[in-house]
Amino acid sequence: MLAPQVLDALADVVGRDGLITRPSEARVYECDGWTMARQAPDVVVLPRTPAQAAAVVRVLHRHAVAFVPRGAGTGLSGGCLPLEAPVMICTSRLNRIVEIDLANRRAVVEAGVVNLAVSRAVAAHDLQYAPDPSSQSACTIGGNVAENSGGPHTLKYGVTTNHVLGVGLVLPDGETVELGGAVEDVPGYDLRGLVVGGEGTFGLVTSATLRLVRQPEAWRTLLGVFESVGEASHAVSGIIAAGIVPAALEMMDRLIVQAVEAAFHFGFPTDAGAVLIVELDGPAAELEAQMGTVVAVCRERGAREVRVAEDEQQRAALWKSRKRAFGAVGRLAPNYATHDGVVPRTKVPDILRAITAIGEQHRLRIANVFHAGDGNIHPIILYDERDADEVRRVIAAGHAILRACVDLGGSITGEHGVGVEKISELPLLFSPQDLLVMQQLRAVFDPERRANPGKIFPTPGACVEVSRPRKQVPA
Amino acid sequence: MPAGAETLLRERLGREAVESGDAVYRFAAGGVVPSCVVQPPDAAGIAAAVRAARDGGLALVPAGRATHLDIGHPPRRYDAALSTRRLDRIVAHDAGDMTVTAEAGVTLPALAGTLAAAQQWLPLDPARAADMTVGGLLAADRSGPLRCAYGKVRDWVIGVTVVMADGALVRGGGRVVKNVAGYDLPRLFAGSFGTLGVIVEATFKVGPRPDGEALFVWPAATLEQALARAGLVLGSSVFPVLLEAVNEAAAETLGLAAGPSLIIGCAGGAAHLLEQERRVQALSAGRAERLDDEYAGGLRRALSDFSQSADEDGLVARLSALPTALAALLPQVEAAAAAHQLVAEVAVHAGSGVAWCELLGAARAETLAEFAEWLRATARQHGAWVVFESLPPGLRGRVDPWGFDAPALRLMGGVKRALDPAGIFSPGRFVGGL
Repeated sequence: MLAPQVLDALADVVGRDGLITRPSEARVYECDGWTMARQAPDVVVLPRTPAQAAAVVRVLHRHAVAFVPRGAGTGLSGGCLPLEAPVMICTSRLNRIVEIDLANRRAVVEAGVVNLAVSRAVAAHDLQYAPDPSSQSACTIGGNVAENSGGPHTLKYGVTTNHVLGVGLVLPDGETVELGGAVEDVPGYDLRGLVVGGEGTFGLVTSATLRLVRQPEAWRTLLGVFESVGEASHAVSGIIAAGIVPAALEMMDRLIVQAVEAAFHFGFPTDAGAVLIVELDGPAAELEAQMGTVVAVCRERGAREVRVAEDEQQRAALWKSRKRAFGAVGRLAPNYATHDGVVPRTKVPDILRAITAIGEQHRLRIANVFHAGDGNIHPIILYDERDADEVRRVIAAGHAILRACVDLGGSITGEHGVGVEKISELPLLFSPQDLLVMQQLRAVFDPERRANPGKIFPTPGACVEVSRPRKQVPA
Repeated sequence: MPAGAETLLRERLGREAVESGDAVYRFAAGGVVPSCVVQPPDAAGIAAAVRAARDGGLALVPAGRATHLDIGHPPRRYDAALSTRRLDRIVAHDAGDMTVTAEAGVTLPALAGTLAAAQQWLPLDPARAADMTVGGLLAADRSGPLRCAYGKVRDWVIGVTVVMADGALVRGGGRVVKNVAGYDLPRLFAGSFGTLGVIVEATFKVGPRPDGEALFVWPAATLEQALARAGLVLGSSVFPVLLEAVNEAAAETLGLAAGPSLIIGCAGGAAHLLEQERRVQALSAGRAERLDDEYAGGLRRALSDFSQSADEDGLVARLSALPTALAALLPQVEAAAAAHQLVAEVAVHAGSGVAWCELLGAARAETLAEFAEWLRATARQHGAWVVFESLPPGLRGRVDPWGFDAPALRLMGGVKRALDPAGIFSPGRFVGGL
């Protein structure tokens, strides 16, 4: 338990109403979107300004107390689980859009600003913030920075690191540094590039300078219906081979389509093996020709039906189906575990075959909804948490899937992060020497390991006890 | 130089991998000439050279084909150049994956050739591309006019393999386009100028190569007006892949008879280019001229190569600012240059807020140094960073090429000391003398 004088010092900074100490209230913060392990923090601190946040960190530094940064808690790898830190610093009150510079297409925002709020704030000027994770109506920019988040449209537009020019970082000793900045070429090492995707282990990000991009002149969105995921994957390869980079290229398999249809009644064919959502954007003159090619490729590669969204409403419906797919899975089983592997795009059919085999071997149902254009798969393993044996099989199957991704030349995480979930898989990808260099870098920022300890890196004696998972939190 | 550096390297790497003849002058860095040049045939050889340096207390400057060794402070110590030019294999290119993995010594033309066979490209168009290696591109963070639409090397690199100061081969990132496993070493090494390790291999995303390109020249009365028009283009429905504003002196060097101009480049299929032409004409009230392909090709290359100083005694500055700040800053730079009896050739990546200024004239070193200090101080008032990429010999040691003094420098020093504790790699070359 946290010493009373630390609590008092924190209260001096943020006030009593900036602290959550009652266990019943702290339990809200016991996990993020990854629910296989839970632990409530002793105290949640809610600073109102970046200066307060820095003062909070200084207090913790003075008392040698570790902390976990948290945004909206939509993460999917347990990144803000307070396993080895009694204090959680929640950025939800750091929610000001500090500056919007339309002429230079920059926005400076505090870490707790919700992703979608940035795009909304500039939409009237035909601008947008490009990275669009499925949780974008809830997740925060600070969380996106921590995880280097992606989203469906990153195939063409890149991920968070491609759109963050600078970050304001409170180091674990309480000093605030600006890394990167408003301009494109800041001399020196690209430490902003290191902090983006650093999963909160370099300190507390309190602000970010974002690049805004023009909204595309036009969109064209289509749904391709295929008999099998193999045929749909084949169509994906064909589109890429035609020299087209769609804004998004998303696939859902039969299980997902059935769940989505049951939940939302979009009129999807529930007997289809797979559906592909293809979105093209850009100057209108380019789009028509590209759309013709995409339709032809889909037909040529076995699509039994191609539906082109005729208007904005139909387009919105298609995207709603995709972004709500995870929620719809709740209808299929009491619980589900979402994974996040990556393979080279041409290996998508191979990994899907491997996932099917792994599901059969472990007697589990696995649904697939994923970013086919990036090779970023999201197998969703369905289970019932009351069945302890099934829970064990879920964990074993998840590990087997990630191993298969690595064997195919891929990665164990494309956008969710390592967190605590994939600590034991990180060595599949990196040698002890690779990991040593990463830890040396971490020590430059955080020599005492007080910023989000126990994440990313395997450390002896710090493994997570995955126990009885409880109720599902919507992802 | 520690006694027997050359002997030690020969012992470890074999006689033929170590040269000490005229080759050493090609690898001079900021006027400092190494005693030998080591060019191992593979990554194991690079690692052996690094271990030898560690054991013998030698200082190495990692290099490819020595195109950018003059950028930065002259190294404090420099025993041997360690070139990766013989690591010239393209390791993997799967067109369907839109990725390519190349050893560090692969030249940009060789890489482009491989990608072109699949109608793909790495859309970076830096100066001196003809002789640049993949390792140099990444380590020196090179880009060109196309960054307007396609960004910088940090936006395309997805994996690196590096020989660290203890000789260990370390990987970061991977070969897939989306990957958040572990810290993002590829971005740390982008622009690290050979001060943290030796890049021996890198993987990049690539894209489909557009079918065609169109170049438009929109003449302006002044650089200021050209920059204002760049703002108009960015706010319009024109979709530029490059947007270069040049002043009178730069136009002359580029062979542009029109004088100060805005050059707009578009890329894509024929129908798209026609539509872009229509929009450019509408925006410019017919004043922008589409260049014929042959002339456009020549101007395109000249624009990419603009930042490569033609003059040994030239002072080349790269300014990075908010695009609107450049519009206020650059006219002052032109005026101040004239007051110092200097000619300022200025070409601006107007969409990116990056200006290349080459200062020419028979000015004495004192005058140039004074101007350089004025430029940096004035630019800082506009929130701009100035890097002097080329300094005449008389200014080396007098003018800080980087001029970086932000609080983040303390962390950068920490990174350097953590990864290269003995100061083997390019000691003193980088920001703050790291």
